[in-house]
Amino acid sequence: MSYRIAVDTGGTFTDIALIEEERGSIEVAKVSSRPDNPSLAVMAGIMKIINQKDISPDSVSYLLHGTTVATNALLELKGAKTALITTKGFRDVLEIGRQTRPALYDFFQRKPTPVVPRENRFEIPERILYNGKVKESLQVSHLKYIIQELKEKQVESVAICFIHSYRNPHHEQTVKDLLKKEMPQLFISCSSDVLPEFREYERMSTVCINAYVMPAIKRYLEDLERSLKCKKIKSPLYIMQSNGGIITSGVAREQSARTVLSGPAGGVIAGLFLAKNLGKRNLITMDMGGTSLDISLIYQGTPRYTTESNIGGYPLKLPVIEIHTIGAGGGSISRLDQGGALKVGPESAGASPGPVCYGKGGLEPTVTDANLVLGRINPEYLLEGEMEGCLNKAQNSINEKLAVPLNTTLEQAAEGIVKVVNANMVRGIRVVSVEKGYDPREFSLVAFGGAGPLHAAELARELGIVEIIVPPNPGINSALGMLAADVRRDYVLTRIMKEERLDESKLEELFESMKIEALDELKKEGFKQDTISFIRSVDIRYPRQAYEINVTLADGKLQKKDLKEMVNKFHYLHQQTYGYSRDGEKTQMVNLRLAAIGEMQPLMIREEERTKEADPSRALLSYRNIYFSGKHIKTPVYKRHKLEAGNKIDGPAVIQQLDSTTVLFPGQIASVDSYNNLIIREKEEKACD
Amino acid sequence: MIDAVTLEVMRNALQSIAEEMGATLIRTALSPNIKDRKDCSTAIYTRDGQLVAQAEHIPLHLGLMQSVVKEVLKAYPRENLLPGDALIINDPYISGSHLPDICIFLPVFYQREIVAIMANLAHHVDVGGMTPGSTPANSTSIFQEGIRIPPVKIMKKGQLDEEIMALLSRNVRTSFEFNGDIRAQIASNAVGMKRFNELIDKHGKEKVLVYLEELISYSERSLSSEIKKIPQGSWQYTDYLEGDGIIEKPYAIKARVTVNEDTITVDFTGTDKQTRGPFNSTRAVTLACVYYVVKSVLNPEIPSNEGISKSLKIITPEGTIVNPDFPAPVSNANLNTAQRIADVILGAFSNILPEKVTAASAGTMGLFTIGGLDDRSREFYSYVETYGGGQGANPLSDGLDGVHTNMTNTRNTPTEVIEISYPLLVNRYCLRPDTEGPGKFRGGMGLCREITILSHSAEVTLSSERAKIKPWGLKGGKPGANSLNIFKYSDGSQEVQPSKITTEVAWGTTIIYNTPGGGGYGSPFERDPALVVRDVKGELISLERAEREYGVAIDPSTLKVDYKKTGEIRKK
Repeated sequence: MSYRIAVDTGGTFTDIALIEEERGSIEVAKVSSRPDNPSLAVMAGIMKIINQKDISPDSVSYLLHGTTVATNALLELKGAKTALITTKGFRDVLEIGRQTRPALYDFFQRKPTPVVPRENRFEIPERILYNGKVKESLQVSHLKYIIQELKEKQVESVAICFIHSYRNPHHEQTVKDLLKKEMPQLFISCSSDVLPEFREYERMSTVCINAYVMPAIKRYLEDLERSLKCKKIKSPLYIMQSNGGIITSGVAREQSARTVLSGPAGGVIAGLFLAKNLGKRNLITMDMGGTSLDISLIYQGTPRYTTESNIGGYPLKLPVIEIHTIGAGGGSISRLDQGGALKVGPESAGASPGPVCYGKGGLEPTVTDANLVLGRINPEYLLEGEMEGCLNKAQNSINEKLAVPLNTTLEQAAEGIVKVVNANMVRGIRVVSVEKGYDPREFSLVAFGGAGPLHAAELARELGIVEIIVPPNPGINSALGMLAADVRRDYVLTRIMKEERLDESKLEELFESMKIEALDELKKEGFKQDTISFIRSVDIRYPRQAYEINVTLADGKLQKKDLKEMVNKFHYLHQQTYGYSRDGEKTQMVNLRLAAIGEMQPLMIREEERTKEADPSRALLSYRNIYFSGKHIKTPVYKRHKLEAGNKIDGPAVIQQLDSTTVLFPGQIASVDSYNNLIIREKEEKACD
Repeated sequence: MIDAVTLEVMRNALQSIAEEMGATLIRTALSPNIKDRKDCSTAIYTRDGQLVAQAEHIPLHLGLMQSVVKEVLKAYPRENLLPGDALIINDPYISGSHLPDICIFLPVFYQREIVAIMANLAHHVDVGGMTPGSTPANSTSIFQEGIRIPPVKIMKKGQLDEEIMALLSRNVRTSFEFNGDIRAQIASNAVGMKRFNELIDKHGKEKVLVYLEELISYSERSLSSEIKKIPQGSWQYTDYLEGDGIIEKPYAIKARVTVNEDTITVDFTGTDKQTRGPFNSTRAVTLACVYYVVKSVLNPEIPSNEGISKSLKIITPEGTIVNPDFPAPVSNANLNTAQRIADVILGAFSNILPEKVTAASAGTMGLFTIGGLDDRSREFYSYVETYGGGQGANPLSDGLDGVHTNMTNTRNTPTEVIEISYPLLVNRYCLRPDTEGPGKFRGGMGLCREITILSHSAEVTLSSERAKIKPWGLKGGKPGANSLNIFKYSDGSQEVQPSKITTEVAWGTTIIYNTPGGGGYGSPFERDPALVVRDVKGELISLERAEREYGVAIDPSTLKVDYKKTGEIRKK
């Protein structure tokens, strides 16, 4: 027997998922996170699940890990002492950015502090032109002054970023080699290695972030690997990246910036895996936790990727799964503002003090308090039953802060909070769907996170979405997603070429050089040639445009007709994305992109046999009075893990499990499918098919 | 029947519609002006033309969008509108703004009655006139600035009027982009109409119409309750433009801000007569500046709609720079005059609410264009960019370095993109050391970009300000540095240029474009010496300046503060 284990570090909890590779049975666990030393929680979690299943440590074949070490180092500005070496005249590019301020009307809003302060940004005489030609050769002699300063200032990590280095990396590489020789212990990140793509600010920001978080990631992973060895876990360690793929811990130490947005990506991959099993092509995933809601869209079986992400105001131009985050979560605070509107969020009570009902000192009513007052959350499930007084606290708070001033009943006020947070979320889902040209009615809504399944039913109605999918373990979806991820590495090469000067052999040659590098790297990681696949694509635009469209190329040796097809596809995608195309006009190629995928052993999850029994009464726990649209209804409460494939539940109903609660509205019906997902639809809808 | 929850749900729904209109416009437009710089706004109005919800991308549009539909309805009676009609307009003497800003609006009918209006405004690449881009720095009449479109039906019964389109297309330099952008504007309104009708289908007409009005009252209530919180009082402030593109002399802009119990009056009486050159700000642009400052100072979160204007009384005497008479030229007011008007209002507020304002920021949108023949492609090119500068400091923090401030917020063009696209070489792109206004909190540093022209001679236009009068500081804070434009010729000689100029320069010339710094806030002698040392170490402030301006003595070899000496200097 062999097992795959995934560990996802979150702010409050570290989630662990384990799958038995042949039979596909899944086990999950949760332990408290240890922000001071995250690897302690990771180890505790792994040991907990190993003991739970009583398996031997050497039967773990893969260990997958989503870590927030790099993210936190960046957001809390606790990265390494970092320096930048750049072309003379350009050290302020990192600070100027795109010359925009972060808020139109708020004078007091600051820009994030650059990760490399000006005193550690060094300039060196050298200049390469847009076509790769050397205008001014590198003044190597100047480097010795810089090295002296790096030593004096005890710099740990260095980023190198020269103008047009994506076109000719020679000067950057020379500096890198010399630095390595002179200061062997130094961490070095070169922009031509990390992101050889044009637009200097985004490239510089990305390579500086990489340099800044690299030492922390390296120390963390070394620590973790040592602990794993102690516990006799010998499987290789893979790290989740923001693009939804994984990399070996060795690569993560070099390309650390690729791990920065990895957490939410796991959730999307879980959605994708779910979709594959269910044969669904179009999904909107919503991951609602304590403070925020992450939304993403999967169209025709593919998530949307972007290279335009930023974290805490720092642009990171690496390919990531596009995720839209808004400040709506269980902890979002509700208040009446001076104009007389009821507002919810984006301020959150977070984990501490948390909602009023946690009894940890929170005074402002939150979304969780409202759900509790409405009866949608079971008070006994919160804080292991020590909640009696706390329900009162939540009631008092909503009553005093909202119901009395609004002259409504307690329940009306609580329902108001839910309505408003739902309206915020609907707006967020519209941003990723209708505003991008997708009709949400053609999508299924996948709800996870602790609070997602509580709100999904109403959101779906509001958006005209006919189907909601709630996975078996909504609270640890990201960890489950990691189990299904493949190794993925992205390469980019900027070559700006007019369409008429493109030829297939030249393009093939450029892709070939990227492939050789990719093959070499993946083979080093233990992949055999036949488990490696490639996706080639090209960024194209009309001349003078400031934005590009990514066009995927056909597999196989490129022919003339492939180029023609590529250009046609660009015109088509331009039409689809922007509503028009200029079919006759010559296009311009900007970047070549290669994604190299190292396929992991395919993951199988166990399919349950459907019972013929539609009756869910074996799972019935009790009845509770729950407030729906203006009145209390006696509502059945079910235990999620007692439900069996084939069961059908009529709304209204509440389905409880440890990590989440699903609410079914009157008029809705849920069925349990053979993977133990809850599929929720409107009743009349159900009657039709 | 108005309730707090429905109010917030409706606000979300309407804001979402306005934003979807904006996303549609940006997605389907052709020109980089709209697509990349997002120089456009979209909005929903009541049937009387009162603004309800708006997606604006630059603050200048805040006031324009509020007045445009109301003014158009005065000139074009609502009764003449039929289902499927859409109006087009760009006449600044009706709509405000300048000619490149074209507005299209669509009445929404429900059961044969107008229930709302969808409108959007977008900055077009060119609308004809004496110079490409239609923002000449030296026009003396609106007739030189491009084609003027009064409110006319561009669409009748759902059909685009191709004859009007042909007439307009013939009068603009970039007709391809013009046609595409107009169609994008129409598509944006159509999306808004569709969503608005869906909203009515869901909630009923009466309820939606009631909440349109209620959202306006909501902004009004929010703003007046903010006004009630601040002290009553009155203060006047005067600042100057340095020239109008024709004559270099100071032009005064004066504003008296009076805070009453729950209203604010801004009175521009005393402002100089309109200029001969194109630096006149229409009343709508002036209103935009007032709304911008009021919203920033009182509460940035208040939704931008008609409710804001209800608590404000704004007096703009006719025939002045802040409300010119036809046919005065107006094309450059958005770039420079708008920034100065914002400065003046901030200056007046600084005496009423010193804890909520900033010192003067760069005070110009810093236009820099180069046009000529590219040897590499044998095609004409045109590099156009607006530059940020130092932001004024505020009572809690330093001003931002090298950013767009106040009335604009568009992105820069990366150096690598400039060199790929144009026959230009960028020698430097950096902050300008020692240009900050010293203060307890210092102003932001200005920007410097140095560009060499690599092929043929080229036409260069610079339109900036603050070359003579520095951006002021507050509460003992000192002013930021002036702008400074220099031409460096291939023989090595240099020449300082005026802030506004259009001229032909030879191959090999280098233009050094230096933008102003921001003013400081509070006495520089109260600045934390550690922050001064940080800037000295970063070579943003020189050792001498640290001692002279901030009274901080720093040991040149260790770069540590000499506290004893610092104490002595600061005591004086």
